[in-house]
Amino acid sequence: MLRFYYAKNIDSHTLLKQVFASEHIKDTTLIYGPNGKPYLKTGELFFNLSDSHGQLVCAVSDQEIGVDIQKICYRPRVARKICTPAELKTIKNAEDFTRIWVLKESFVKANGAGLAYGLQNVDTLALKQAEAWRYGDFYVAVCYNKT
Amino acid sequence: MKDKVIKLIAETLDVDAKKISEKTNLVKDLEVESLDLVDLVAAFEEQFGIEIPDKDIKNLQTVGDIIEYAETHQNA
Repeated sequence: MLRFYYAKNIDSHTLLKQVFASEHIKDTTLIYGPNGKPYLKTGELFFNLSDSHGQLVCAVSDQEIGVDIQKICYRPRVARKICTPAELKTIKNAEDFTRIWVLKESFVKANGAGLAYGLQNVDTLALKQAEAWRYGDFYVAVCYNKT
Repeated sequence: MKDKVIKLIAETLDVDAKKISEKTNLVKDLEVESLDLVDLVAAFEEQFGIEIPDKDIKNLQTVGDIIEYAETHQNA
């Protein structure tokens, strides 16, 4: 099971409330992983939130999940820092860069480590459990499995 | 060091340096997203020749944190 909720210009707590209501979650008590990733205490649903420039997305699933959204842009300095040489060769424009960024972010958000994992350690060319798509001026990626 | 760090943050995030102080919170006050934060870390590393380990990034929450990091690690 995998569902997405999109919202604009609201705060993440408001979106989360709406998501929990839509998903008929009664006990919305949150607990946090070692790197701050929030979970429902009951464990009945996994969720993950991301926002960029006022655009929010929340992904919900019955398994561990990470989602990321980013307004399309190109940051060459970031590309040099986080991309493998093979990934760098695939970047022809801002869309290519943003796609790689959200894929890496969705992976480290799924495994709960966040930036501490090291985005340069995520090889998107070998990443099987994540997918990315364009959403207006944004790119979104979701990663399913805890790895 | 303080002025150098504030100038770097202002340039990287394209914000007015006058609005930045040591107490400025990157996320709450400057609306820094994770991409901005990694860009800031990369700019910092290039400018000061200090490598910031990935595990330390989450500790950089305020401008004061970055100044302190630079002061502690530049001559380490």
